Amino acid sequence: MGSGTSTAESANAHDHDDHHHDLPFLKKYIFSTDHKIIGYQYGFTALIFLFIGFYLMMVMRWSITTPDKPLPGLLAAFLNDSWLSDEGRVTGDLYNMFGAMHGTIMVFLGIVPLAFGAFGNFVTPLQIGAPDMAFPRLNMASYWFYFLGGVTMLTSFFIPSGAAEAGWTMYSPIATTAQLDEPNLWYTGQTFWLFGMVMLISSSLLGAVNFISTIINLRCRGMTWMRLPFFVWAMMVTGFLLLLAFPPLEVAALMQLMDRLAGASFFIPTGLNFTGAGSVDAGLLDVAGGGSPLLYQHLFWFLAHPEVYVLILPAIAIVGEIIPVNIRKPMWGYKSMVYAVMVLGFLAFIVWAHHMYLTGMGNVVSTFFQATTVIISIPSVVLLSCLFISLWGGSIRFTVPMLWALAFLPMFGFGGLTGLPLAFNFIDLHLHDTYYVIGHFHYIVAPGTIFGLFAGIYHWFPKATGRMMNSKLGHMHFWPSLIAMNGIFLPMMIQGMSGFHRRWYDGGINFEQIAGQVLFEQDSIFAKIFSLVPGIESGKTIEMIDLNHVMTFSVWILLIGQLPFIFNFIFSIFKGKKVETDNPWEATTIEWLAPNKPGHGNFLSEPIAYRGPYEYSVPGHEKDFSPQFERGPDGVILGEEDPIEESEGAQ
Amino acid sequence: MEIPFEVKPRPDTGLWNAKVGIWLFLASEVMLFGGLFSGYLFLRLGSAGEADYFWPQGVLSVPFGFVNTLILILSSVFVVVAWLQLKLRNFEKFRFWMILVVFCAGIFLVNKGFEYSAKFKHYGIKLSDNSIVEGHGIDDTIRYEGIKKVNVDVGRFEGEFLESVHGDTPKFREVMSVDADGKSVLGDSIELSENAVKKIEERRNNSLREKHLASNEEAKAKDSDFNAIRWLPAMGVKQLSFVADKEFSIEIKRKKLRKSFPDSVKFRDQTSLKGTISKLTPGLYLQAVDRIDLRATDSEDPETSSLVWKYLGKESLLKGHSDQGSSDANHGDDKDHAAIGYNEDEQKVKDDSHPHDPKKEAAMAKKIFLGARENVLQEAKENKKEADFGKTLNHSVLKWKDDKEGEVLKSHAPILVPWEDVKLYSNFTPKWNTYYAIYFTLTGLHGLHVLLGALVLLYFAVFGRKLFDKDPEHMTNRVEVGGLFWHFVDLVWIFLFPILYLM
Amino acid sequence: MADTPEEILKDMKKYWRVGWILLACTALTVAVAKVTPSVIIGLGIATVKAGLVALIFMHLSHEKSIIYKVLIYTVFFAIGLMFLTLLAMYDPIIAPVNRAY
Ligand code: HEM
Ligand SMILES: [Cu+2]
Repeated sequence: MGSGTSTAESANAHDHDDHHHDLPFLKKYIFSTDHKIIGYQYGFTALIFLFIGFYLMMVMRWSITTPDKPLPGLLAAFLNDSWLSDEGRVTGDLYNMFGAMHGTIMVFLGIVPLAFGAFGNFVTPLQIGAPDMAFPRLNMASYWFYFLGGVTMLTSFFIPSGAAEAGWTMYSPIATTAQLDEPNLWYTGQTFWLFGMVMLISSSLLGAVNFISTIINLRCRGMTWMRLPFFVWAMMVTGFLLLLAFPPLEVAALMQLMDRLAGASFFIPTGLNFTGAGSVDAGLLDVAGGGSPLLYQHLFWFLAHPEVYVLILPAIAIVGEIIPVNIRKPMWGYKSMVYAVMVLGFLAFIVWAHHMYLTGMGNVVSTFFQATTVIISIPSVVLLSCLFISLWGGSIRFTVPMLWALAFLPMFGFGGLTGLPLAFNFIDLHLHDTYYVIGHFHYIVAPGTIFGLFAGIYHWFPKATGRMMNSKLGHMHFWPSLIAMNGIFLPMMIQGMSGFHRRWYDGGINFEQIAGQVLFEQDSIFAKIFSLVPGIESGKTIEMIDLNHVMTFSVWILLIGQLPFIFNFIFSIFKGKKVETDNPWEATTIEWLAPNKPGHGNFLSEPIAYRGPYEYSVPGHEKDFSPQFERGPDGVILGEEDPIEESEGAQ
Repeated sequence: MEIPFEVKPRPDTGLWNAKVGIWLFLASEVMLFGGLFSGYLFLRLGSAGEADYFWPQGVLSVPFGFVNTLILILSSVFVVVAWLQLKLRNFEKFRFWMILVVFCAGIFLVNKGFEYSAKFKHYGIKLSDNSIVEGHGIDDTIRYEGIKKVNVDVGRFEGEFLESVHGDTPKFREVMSVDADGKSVLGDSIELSENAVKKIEERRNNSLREKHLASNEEAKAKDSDFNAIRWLPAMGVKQLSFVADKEFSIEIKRKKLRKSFPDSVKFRDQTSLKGTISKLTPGLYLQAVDRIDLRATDSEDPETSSLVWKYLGKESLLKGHSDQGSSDANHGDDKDHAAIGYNEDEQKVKDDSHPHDPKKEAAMAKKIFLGARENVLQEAKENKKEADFGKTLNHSVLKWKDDKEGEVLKSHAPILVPWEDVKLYSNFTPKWNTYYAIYFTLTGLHGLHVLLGALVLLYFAVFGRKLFDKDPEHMTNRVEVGGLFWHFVDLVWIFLFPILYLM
Repeated sequence: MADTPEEILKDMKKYWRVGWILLACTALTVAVAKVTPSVIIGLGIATVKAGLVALIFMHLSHEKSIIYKVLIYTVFFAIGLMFLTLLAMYDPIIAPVNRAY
């Protein structure tokens, strides 16, 4: 074929000969083995979980900002009334439960499935010119494991004990002893969490095996390693992170299960005196002891630091695809980025203990991890710099996906830079477990990763549906989101530095020393501006704790800001503007060769990669983009180096 | 649509898909077992510095482990042979060897089952001075007498205690309120059950709710701007108290209780009762002690003054005690104890006529223990080394050859440890100590791998014919992948055997 | 890798031979453990056995480079995992051995 600009006709023609219309609905959309459908499944499920996580957070924010007011009907409508205190307020228990589940749902059920499961599934095989994943049925199993894990987590809200409540990190011994007062330990949220986690881990492991195998073995002709789009590289590294980091967490989960259900004491030290808050069971635990809570933390963070890179790499990858398309020039430093991402994947495994400086693990160990942590910021900076420098001298198209991608860069940069102080253990002594840490990683995950994911949705929407998303609504989605995200997370940095602890369910109102620090004097101009925020009285001194109102107000704006997106997304699937060609953005990577709404098997003819992934504005070419799949005047399958061609000759 | 390189290797990587896949999967398995091994190392090295915990060594039967190792290694050879037979395109021979593999897996798992069940029947008790006794035949029946008052957690009540009431279940009266003098106002006499509690809860909550709504109205009448406060479940009842019509007693296995104190007891469903422990069940009884471990004991001179020596040789006062299994089985018999009653004289008579006199057995056990200790001292003296009591203080008291008198001593002593001196007791499950915790986790997970692997291989052997006829190379590849997994399982066991059985 | 019938039969012999060696090694471990329960010897023999299984039975001895790359990466981190213990318990400056909590 070799033409990226097939006409609307051919796109339409393809709509009709989509030979899989005859598959029954169940097989086509529910138990599908097609990587694209599985990608959609991941995407839809993950978006729903993201909204659930968002809701949990709104309840928590209500409690932080207005701990003395009953939960409003809008938020309470979804709640089991028995969870509220007798004045209708959020209780500490509820806050803990929602806090733990917010983290769990966002990380394991929202971002990772959306970033790795949905985008990885949809884009990777298309970009390497493969007809599907290497193991389609494994792919389906991986989605269903994820689904089951999600269902387990959600059901845990509705059992008498409520869901897990020991933070998303589930540190023992708190997690082991939480909900011990239930008659049946199998039937508690903590236990459900562990089982759910085992399923999610299995899902990720299967996914990772599948992704790496696909990338290693199913690249199309001419697609050599250095012609892989950056996205694919990032997916491969992400796959390795999941593959090797998740098993230790599985071990930790199994051990914690043994501790809870079989009375083992892997993570319980000798003579632990249990005084669980408000628990009727105070006293010595009836276990042998001899274990160590530190072992849990090590196993957990051995996973969880690589996991944070699993959260961010797909977003960087998406942005890395969108920027070259919209600046019409090659990505600056493609190779450096590839090597940086590999180094990152390696270093990610040896920095984990920077989350544990306060456990008293000793100076030498702390120093080692401090050093590796500072070193790991180098590849992160390389990635970010390459993307920034790429912008230089480009003729930038400010499309909606590009807006998100552009916003991603500084937001991610801010999140990463605020991580640096944390890397030094003497600074971390002050900042650990404060809102500063929360601000740090949310800057990376929320305005960072989530912006990247939105960018991806707007970018690949035409490929998936054959229609464009509305750009006006896109702007209405983007600007409020950008402002609100900063309204939420910037104050966290300030609060955190002044000592606000991340687990105060009343927002610190009882800690006058900290909460009452003056931020702006009465009558100052800033105080006047702040008094515009609902909840802050005008004419008063602005104290640290008043920032809570700013954050909560921003959260509501953020919520409203998502409405255009939801509408746009659903509306555009059915009624959006039809795209004329298979390559509406005039991009160069191979997924744009496939017809819109690709059928089973993806490509109409065998895709071949003739060149690198980002050949924009190549001198001497008539168009400003030279797709990988077009031979053009200078395309090569990489003759001598192309073993496929060679071996075909030999056959 | 066909996925490329499903059967034929891709020229540049030289691999077909499933081969890449299985190796990646095995890589993650390496990390999984790596994590567990790391946990093992951690617990073992961690226990080295502890004064109160000694890593158990040599507690598993080496012959069992040895045979299992041989079986797995053999099965590993069989798997490659089966695979080579497929390469020779000889399906029947392949099937033969493969079934042999699955057979080996079966024997392995059955062996494991025996090993596990032996552990389940073996008990250990940690006394309050940190000395440890181990043995067979536990009886942890505990009886509380003189119970009148019952406190119920409304949300969790499951009527657990009703099942262990000894004799007739009495009727109960609900405590409606407490008057000014601190006396309870009681309700009607009822049959207590989960349903009855639900009903009372409902009734109380209804009346509370009405009161609440009325006060809302009242407030509104005074102040028209008043916002009514919503009724929420948190305002309802949490606890209910009941008083029994007559005193009653309960009898139950101690391990089924959540907490037990000298004057009160709490069930799993948070029901708590006030009563006293019956003299009939003064403590935890172990029928035959086979090992005594005094290494962690607090006392100055453990050889003579440990609590173990105080309680060794005491018989249970409950008749018909026997090992765990049978007393569980004849639960009905337990009810007879009341009829027999507590009679010290009768007990004495019985003790004297007992073929194994527990007192004598206890003396024998102590003699064995001290004798073995003497041996160590002797040996140390001869070698001019410091005596290593690690061995004696952790000593089997079943059997020992007394060199001086040339006779073989055997003991079979019971022990009765008063409840307040029981720090921990359990059969040899993960609860007993971290060694068994890691042992069961590691071997359990490994056993699961054996089971799953065997099922897959069995599937190949039974249903492989069709694919073999269609595409023998594809079938061969599949078997190779299954074989790789099987070898990995074998490889893990090769490490498990020495670290769990030998060292 | 062997593909002609003769070669396959030769392989078969090799596998049996390795199988016997493994069995002998197992007996050796048990015997040695009877004499001196040495951790180093026990794990040493186990490592040799594991090496034989991996190299011969799992035919890693002639596998493709990509698989080596994956495994080297994995083994590196798996070994790293073993050092968790040290990290949790030892502080070479303050005290050579800290209690495990
Ligand atoms: C650029 C380099 C980065 C450095 C130097 C860094 C450093 C740190 C440090 C030292 C902490 C521990 C703070 C404490 O608990 O006291 C931390 C927490 C955290 N970081 Fe980063 N970080 C970086 C990038 C990232 C990225 C890319 C993510 C991706 C999402 C991320 C996510 C997190 C999360 C989730 C936590 C908090 C975990 C928790 O305690 O719940 N970080 N970071
Ligand atoms: Cu980290």
